[in-house]
Amino acid sequence: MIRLEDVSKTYRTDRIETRALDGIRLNVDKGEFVAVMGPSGCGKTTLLNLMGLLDVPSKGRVVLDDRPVDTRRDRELSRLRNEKVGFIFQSFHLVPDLTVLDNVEIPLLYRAITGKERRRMALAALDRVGLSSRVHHFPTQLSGGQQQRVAVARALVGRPQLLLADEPTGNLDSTMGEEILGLLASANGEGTTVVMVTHDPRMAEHAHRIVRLFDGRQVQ
Amino acid sequence: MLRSYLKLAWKVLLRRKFFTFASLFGVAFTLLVLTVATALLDNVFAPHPPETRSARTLGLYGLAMLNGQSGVIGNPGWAFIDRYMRDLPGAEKVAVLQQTRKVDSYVGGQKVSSWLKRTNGAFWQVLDFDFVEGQPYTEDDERQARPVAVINETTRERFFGNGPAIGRLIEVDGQRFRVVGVVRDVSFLRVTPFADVWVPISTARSDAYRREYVAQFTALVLADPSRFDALRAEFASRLASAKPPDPKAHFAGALESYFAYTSRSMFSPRQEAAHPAMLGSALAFLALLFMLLPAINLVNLNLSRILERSGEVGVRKAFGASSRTLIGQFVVENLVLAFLGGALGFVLSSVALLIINRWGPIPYAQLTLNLRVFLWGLLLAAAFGLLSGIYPAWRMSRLHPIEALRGRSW
Amino acid sequence: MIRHLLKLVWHRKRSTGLLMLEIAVSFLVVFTIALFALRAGSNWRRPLGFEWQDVWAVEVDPNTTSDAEWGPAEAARMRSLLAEARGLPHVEAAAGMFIIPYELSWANGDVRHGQRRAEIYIDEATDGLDATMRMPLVAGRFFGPQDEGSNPPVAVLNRRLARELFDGADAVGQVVNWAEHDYRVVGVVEDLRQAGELSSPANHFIVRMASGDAKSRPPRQLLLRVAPGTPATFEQEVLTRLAPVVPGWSLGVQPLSHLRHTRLQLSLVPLLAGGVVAGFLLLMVGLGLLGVLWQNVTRRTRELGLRRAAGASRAAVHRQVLLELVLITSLAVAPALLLVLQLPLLSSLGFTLEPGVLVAAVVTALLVIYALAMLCGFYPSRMATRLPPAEALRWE
Repeated sequence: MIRLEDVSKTYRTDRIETRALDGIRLNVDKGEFVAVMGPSGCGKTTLLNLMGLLDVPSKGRVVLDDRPVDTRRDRELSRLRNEKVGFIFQSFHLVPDLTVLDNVEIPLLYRAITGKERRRMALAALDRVGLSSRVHHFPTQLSGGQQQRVAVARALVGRPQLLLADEPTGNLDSTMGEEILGLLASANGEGTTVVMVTHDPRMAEHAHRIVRLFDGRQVQ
Repeated sequence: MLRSYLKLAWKVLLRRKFFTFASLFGVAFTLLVLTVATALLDNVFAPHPPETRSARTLGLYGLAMLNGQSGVIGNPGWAFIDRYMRDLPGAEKVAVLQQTRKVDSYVGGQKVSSWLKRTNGAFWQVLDFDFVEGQPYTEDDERQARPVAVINETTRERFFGNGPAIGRLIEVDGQRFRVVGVVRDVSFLRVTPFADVWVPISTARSDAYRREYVAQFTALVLADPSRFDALRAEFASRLASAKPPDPKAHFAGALESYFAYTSRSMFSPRQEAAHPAMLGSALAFLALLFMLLPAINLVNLNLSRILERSGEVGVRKAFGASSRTLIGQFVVENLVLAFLGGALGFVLSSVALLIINRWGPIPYAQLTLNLRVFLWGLLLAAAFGLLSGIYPAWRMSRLHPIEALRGRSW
Repeated sequence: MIRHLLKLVWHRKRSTGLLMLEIAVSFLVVFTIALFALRAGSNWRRPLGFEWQDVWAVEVDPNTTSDAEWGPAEAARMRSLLAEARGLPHVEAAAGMFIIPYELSWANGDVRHGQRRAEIYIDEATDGLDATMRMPLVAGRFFGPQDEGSNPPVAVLNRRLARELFDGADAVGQVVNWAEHDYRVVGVVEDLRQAGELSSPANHFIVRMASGDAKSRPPRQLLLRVAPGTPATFEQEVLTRLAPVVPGWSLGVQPLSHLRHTRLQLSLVPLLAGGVVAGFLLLMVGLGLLGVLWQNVTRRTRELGLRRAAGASRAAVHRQVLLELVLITSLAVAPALLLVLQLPLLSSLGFTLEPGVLVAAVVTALLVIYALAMLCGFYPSRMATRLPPAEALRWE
């Protein structure tokens, strides 16, 4: 599904050069559920950003669906993100000015889909996460767990092949966390490849495989 | 796509009330000022009654008699018009009119000041006055120097109350005239036709005007627009071979629209070169200059809104919105704001125009918002929306998605 | 502290740059309006040099087209017109003038005395102008019938012109040159400002019109000083009495107060419109500033929380936010101020400006802009310190 080949990422500011990732080789197969673990600052989020095409590697390359991603053109990258990838963030990142329904529709906005169809798909996704009764609420009117469920619905609504979750349970208590993880597992059961960054071993247990990072290097 | 943009814009505006209020206030006020200015200009230059035939009219408004560095600059005189503007090819009628002069009359011991204009008979055929009663005086009246007058409604009320005025005598500038027609009031801003009382030129107390080349007259030539080029060429050649009273001097002037004349007298006082486009450019520059501060203000408001919304930008980028799409979204948002503000500004300006018409210093002001002014307002609103939306949108699209998600642009 | 804040402002230069531009442009707008208003105000308080009350103007149009038609017969008629006017009941004094006060036209030129040169406005008037307009005399005498035929012809200066040409030395008796002709100064009057109360002080050179001379230019207007309380109906009487003296000429009467009203309106309406527009612009800028600062402070809740955690008191943070604003305002205003202070250089282009008015306008604009900034910064700075530090730090 996605392959990182010798990927390094270096951040440069005026004087300091920080190496966030160093020579990572990683292959995630279709249908896998991979957990990425490691201490804070080891490059987990950078890894996820590279996989999600939010960032480009300094060295090496990313191969998505057997096709190397060698473009840096904004429109190309945007299209790939839109079609193949879904994101879930630790702090939910729902747009506060939009209702739950409008938030879930966001990924569909950038595809050629009619408004009616968009609405139908968004409602179906919300139904799946059990929030059909809250579609016209604003994010601030929801609990943390509910907000993250909206985020999951938003990540899944476009039927991405790859779901990237960055500490999806980090801001939630364990019951809520389990609930969210259950949603990820069920998406995985339907064939979606899932890559999740976490530092909670109990959450990582749900994964097929655990990748450990330390100081920008893969240790396992 | 556009519909969802519009929907989104509407939602954002409703959610951020203070931001929306501050932006709408700025846009509405800016467009209020621009619309009032446009209405004023429209009232001066656009074809309003009685100048409804201005598309078929060319005027000789200014004339200079130049001799080296010195010269007399003013309006054409009767002698010049009489000698060089007869039988122009294609000219159907030539209206000759004198500049309006303030004169006094006494009605029952009370002084009444009126604006008096002397014209020839063709004046009433070139211009399209709205007669409430009676009719204009004729070319024959002018030839015979009959003391007849056309007055406007306000003058009729001042002199005769509300009753009919035809056949009654009116004394202005120490002369008595018989009223033959009453017309609707003409705005002071219509410089060419404006007056309270119109009388034949030949009734002037002295015939000194007949010898003047540069004086206070204007000539309007009514012709088919297809003949304009021939007319202008013939006039230019007559002008070149004309013999001014001072043999060393030469005439300068041209047949043109009132707008072109205004532009020329502002940017070339000696009436030599024609600059019809310069007045337009100068007005556009002034409008832009005025829009500068409101635009910076709106850009600032927008920029801080974008920084606040950086999380949203990050999410959209993560889910596949390209920079171009985001620019589109934001510009649409800003245009919605501009048009809403424009609509509000339009309502406000109709109130402002009403106030100016009623209590302002312009006699018989009839400032109105018409389709033309509305379209100008729309254009200005769009220009303003783009001016203040593009830079913030560009800044927004340039936000790196990861940074934006972290929401820490400081 | 200031250094620290300067660094902060510098690091945010991209987001504060436009804010500073807005403040700078607002400063220029306020300055421009203040400059014109203060100039008008300072002119209003100056002596006018004449009394406009109870003066009527009679416009005289002989309906001739060129000076060539002005012969001895016309000059004689003008003389008898003036005599008739002086003899009218209620009329205390009368004089003829080419361009009367408050009129929109003027004649200018320059006058020389030795090496000295001064720009002047030229007034041509008949005898009796001083009594008609009640012009206070400063030195010497006004011209009168005894100057008929004098060679060189006589002239009166206003005080400003006398000072400029003679530096306080006695001007009376001196000979000056205007338009290649010599004139003998017989008197100096108070600073006359013919264009009215709102006009800037100017040099005036008053030349005697020889009313009996066919070669000299005839007056275009007669000025009549009437007794206070003369009814307006007497205007018609004036015309019926004067018209038979000069058949074929056009006459018109209006009180000088009408001309004054028109003239003042012409200056005040644009000033008023400009002031209203500038006021609304300022309100708009204030609202914008409030929004931007509010947003700015909300976004920095974390930083401000950090400062609170590091031991800054609520008042200290409050002060810091306002101080930062003062800093931004000062950085924005400084270049605009430099620009504005170049204005006196334009005086060579005919734009005269008193240093006092300039300084007053700068001070006014500074006060307004700082007050506006403080007013808009007050509420957001209160918002910033509202949250307890622990919560502020968690704020995202």
